[in-house]
Amino acid sequence: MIDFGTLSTQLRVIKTSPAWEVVRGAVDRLSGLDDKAPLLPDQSQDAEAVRAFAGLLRQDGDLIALALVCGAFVGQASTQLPAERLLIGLTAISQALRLKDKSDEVVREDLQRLTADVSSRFKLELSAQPIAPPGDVGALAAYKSELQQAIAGARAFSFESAREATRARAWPAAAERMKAFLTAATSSVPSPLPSVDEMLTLVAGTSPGSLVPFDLAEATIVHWSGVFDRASRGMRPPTDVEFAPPWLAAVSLAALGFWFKNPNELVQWLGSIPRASPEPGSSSTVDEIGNAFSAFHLIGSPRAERGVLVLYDQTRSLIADWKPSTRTASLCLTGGQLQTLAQADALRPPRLPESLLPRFDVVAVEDEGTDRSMTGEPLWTRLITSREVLGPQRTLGDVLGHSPTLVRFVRDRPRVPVPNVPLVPGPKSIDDLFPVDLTPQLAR
Amino acid sequence: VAIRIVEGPEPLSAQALEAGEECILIESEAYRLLVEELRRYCRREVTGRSFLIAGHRGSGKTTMVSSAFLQVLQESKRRQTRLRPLLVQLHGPSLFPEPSQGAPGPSAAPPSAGTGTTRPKTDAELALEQITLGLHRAVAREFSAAFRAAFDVPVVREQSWWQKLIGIPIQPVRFWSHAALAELAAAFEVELYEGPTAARLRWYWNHANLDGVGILGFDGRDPMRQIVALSGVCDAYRRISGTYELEEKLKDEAKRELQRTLGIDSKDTALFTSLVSLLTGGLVGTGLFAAAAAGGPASTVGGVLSALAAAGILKYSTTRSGSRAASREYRFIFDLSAATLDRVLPVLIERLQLAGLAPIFVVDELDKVKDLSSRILGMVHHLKKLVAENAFFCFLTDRTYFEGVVRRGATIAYPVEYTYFTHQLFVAFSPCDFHAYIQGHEAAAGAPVREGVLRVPRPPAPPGTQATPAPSPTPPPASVMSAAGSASATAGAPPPPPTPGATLAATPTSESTDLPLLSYMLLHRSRMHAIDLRREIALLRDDDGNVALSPGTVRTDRTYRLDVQIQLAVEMVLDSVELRAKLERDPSFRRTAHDGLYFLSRRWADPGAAIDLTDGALPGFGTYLTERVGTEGTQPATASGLSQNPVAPQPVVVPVVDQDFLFGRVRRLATLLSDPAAYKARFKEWNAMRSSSGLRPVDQTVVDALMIDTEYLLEPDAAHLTFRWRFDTAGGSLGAAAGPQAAAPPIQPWRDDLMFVQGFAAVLAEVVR
Repeated sequence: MIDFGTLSTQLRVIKTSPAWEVVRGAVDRLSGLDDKAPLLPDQSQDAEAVRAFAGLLRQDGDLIALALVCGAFVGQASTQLPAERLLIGLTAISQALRLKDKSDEVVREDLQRLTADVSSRFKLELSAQPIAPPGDVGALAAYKSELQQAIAGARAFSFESAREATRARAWPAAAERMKAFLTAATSSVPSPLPSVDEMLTLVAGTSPGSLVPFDLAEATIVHWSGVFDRASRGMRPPTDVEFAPPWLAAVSLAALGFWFKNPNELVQWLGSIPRASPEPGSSSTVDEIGNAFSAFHLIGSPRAERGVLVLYDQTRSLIADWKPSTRTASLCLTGGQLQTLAQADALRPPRLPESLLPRFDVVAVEDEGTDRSMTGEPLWTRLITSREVLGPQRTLGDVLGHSPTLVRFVRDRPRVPVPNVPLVPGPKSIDDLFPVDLTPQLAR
Repeated sequence: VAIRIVEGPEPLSAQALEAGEECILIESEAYRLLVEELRRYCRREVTGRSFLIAGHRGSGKTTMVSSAFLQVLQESKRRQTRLRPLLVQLHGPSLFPEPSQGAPGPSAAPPSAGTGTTRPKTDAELALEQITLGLHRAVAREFSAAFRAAFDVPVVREQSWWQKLIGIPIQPVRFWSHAALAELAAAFEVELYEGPTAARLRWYWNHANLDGVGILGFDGRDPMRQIVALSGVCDAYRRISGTYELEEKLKDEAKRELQRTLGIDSKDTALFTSLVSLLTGGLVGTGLFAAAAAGGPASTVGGVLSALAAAGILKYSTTRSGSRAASREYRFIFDLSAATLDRVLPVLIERLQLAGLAPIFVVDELDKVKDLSSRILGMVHHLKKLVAENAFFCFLTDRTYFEGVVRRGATIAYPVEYTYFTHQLFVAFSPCDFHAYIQGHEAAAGAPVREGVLRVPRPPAPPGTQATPAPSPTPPPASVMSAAGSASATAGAPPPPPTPGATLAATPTSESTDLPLLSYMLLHRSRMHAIDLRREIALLRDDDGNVALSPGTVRTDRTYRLDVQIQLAVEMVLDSVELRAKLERDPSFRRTAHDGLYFLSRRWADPGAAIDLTDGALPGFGTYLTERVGTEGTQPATASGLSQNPVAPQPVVVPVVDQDFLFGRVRRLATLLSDPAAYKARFKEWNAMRSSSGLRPVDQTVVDALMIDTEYLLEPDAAHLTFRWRFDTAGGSLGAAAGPQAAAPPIQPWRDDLMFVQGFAAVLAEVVR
């Protein structure tokens, strides 16, 4: 159910002050009063809150209408029940346009721009003329009529008929945003907002909108690693909702912290990974990946101090919410994904370029019979053996074809207090999980 | 869903140290510098540091140091540092006792050699004793706790080559029962305070089966170093705990004897010699005669000659016999007096570091030491190398001493404090530090979000959207590998890719919308003072530990919105170019600046009174500032204007130029609060500047709550130099506006507004159906 509270606190279409939760209570309390009787101090406060909120509605009534119409349009891409589509559409718009950071004037401008985009791209007039905010109770009927008509027009839009065209337009827009995000540190160009096509793909649950969050700063290591996995292996044809083009493999590695001085080896490597579509090692795939380096300005000195390959549990993992670090480049794969790459010999030299070898340290313990003393091991982890991860008869050396330099498998476990043994707070970032390796120094 | 108030445990509490619960601290630039230097010390990148940490009472100096220690301690447990920090707490007044009180423990130095008289201990000697006491206390606590903890974890040792060969891991087993081990640990703890010898410590190590790893749990470090370090500290403790003497004796004897012939010990040597001579001569004469080789006379002559020769030989051997002997005896008495601790302490610290511990000495309450400036100099001369170069020291004091050090640094070329304190920090917090403490903040890229004191539970995902990441349809597997991955590993088929992760994020709730406003409200009510902020937060708490205000109240009620509006204006003035530049040059000025800018807010307690900001009011403002910041640590003045204590520190006087400067900022603040247009213009400029400088712009919910379109808070006179508050602190109006900004929108009857809101709500409900 959408009410003024939803429009203000959740969606940030209208101002958040005065709060509807408080005003609603004031409305209820004032409703039973005689307007001739003088107000008590508390009632005066209620009346003031209602007056302020009425002023807000008189000022932003047009904004509410505009948002509802746009939400109805974007919500049409959803496969949810019609009653939920409006809220989904409004939520997508609010998050795509970052309305929570904007004043009502800017929100109005953004929504007007959105309706103009819809008009130009989908040949659909969401509202023949702006719906004026009602000034009093008498104007509410006309307002309602106009709004209902506009929403009905927006709901006439069929996303299925425009699906492929929408996706085709969404990919360049997504690429542009990713490029702005990756070069944000060296560029003063502000990151563009997601287009209406991207909003529709997100609501429809199809790429590119469904790949990473609209706010790329909120994308986690798991998000980008998933993008890398899909883009590098081409598991889906271009028409599939989960399709990811090959160039995204290079982009996602950069977002994870892997930057390259000489990308040729990496291009060859990514091109050699068996792909479902298009054909593995095809020249178009290699070209596409190679072009991404120049198009996205990915060539440069490595920014991270080290790189790690993390095996993680898809269903329960410490790292699910962690974001990429500038110090530790990291790629998270499940055991299955790792083995798939291993089966294709993608992780064995010389397929895996020499320049990448030191980057791909693998988090694992040594073989059974660890030589670590539990007295010094933080209790939030439990050391496990490589066989637990990779299955019987397999060692990390078998899988990778070489022995990684940093080996440690850890699994988080419940923080069960052990008498007299201090607990250590668990890691909260990839830098925490992989602190500076002091083991060689300690051994001195 | 409610806003929870989570203040967290104090840094040195058991909950923080043992349960690993996270502490929440108001972080500042001083804190970040201290942590970084501690980190470097524990990584052995620097040999020592000496910090002078000053701040107003209640500013959180001790908490800051404790938190820095805790943070590095936890990093060390995650193997991010080479050494584990060891906090050694020292009480400043004990380190520098008043001469009349004497020092705790032995108060007189031992008799000096030769004179046999005693002399009072010097400040340096007293300080060394206290440092040693503190060090022993900390080391004993650390080792006894570690000793007990060592029994609660299994012993896991490296397998030898033959164990690997046969493939059967054999781990050592403790044969002692748990109760016996507990008793052993208790005995160990008791004995540590009795100064056990190294041999005794070795016995404990043997019986606890700790030979391989020691008790501190460091990998790759020689565990015997722990015994060396511990026994050294216990030895130093014995020196200062009583009369401890050690004497070593050494006797060296040498004897030399020379004897060429056999000596006969007889008193009748002459008789014996004559008899032998006669017998020899007779035998020779008889032999010659019998052989008929010689006649009688010749035989007689031969016998006589032989008797004479024999007598001559015997006489010679007696005179060549002789002997020599020498004897020396050594007696060495160790000098175990406290005066030698300055040589011992660096060795102890080095041993502790080799054992894996990094002592951090924190000298607190120095502001309670009388005449600190001159007394600390004595220590400087003796202990500078130890304090500044061999260990990590933090001296915590108030503003008075800090000001003195700064003043000397400005007037004297390279005073002793110049190098004695490697860093001089003044604890003061910026508004950003306070907001981060209340709301939490996101640190550098990739770093986790630091949660604040006020926390809102994560809201649920919007309906009809996926969670992130989508749960696997299969039950959680037993291993790290996903179930799909395990299956594919055996079947050889590639697993399906992970479910797309990007979805609609959770939408804000009413509580999360309130949070930024609460932060501004709290800062204004506490006047940005750390201890007052904690008190204000405590006032907000209900019985369940949540914020007692109902959702939306802080966004609606005028009493809270006024606080927000004033606080934002204060922060805008604080961030003006001139004030920011001054604060960057002199961080200790921040507290003074805060107090100055809250001049108007403090006058709000009497809202009806006029606030005079004319030039003539400057002396009054100076008095206000001096009352706020200038009397810390001083005796109250008597009626005559003289302090009761002649040696009391001088009050910190805010220079006139600073008073004038701040008075100008107060006028600027009054202008913002009395002129909505000026407020809006400044806010727009300031918010844009924040964005361009990498700071987060002010949260839009805070902007929404500003009443700058309809209300102004101060009523100016015609000259805009005298003001009155238009509202009381509860948000009540103090009379009709009469000033130039009185053009408020016409007030409509509330009934019309009520019906309009009700009608609009009904329209919305019908439209979205």
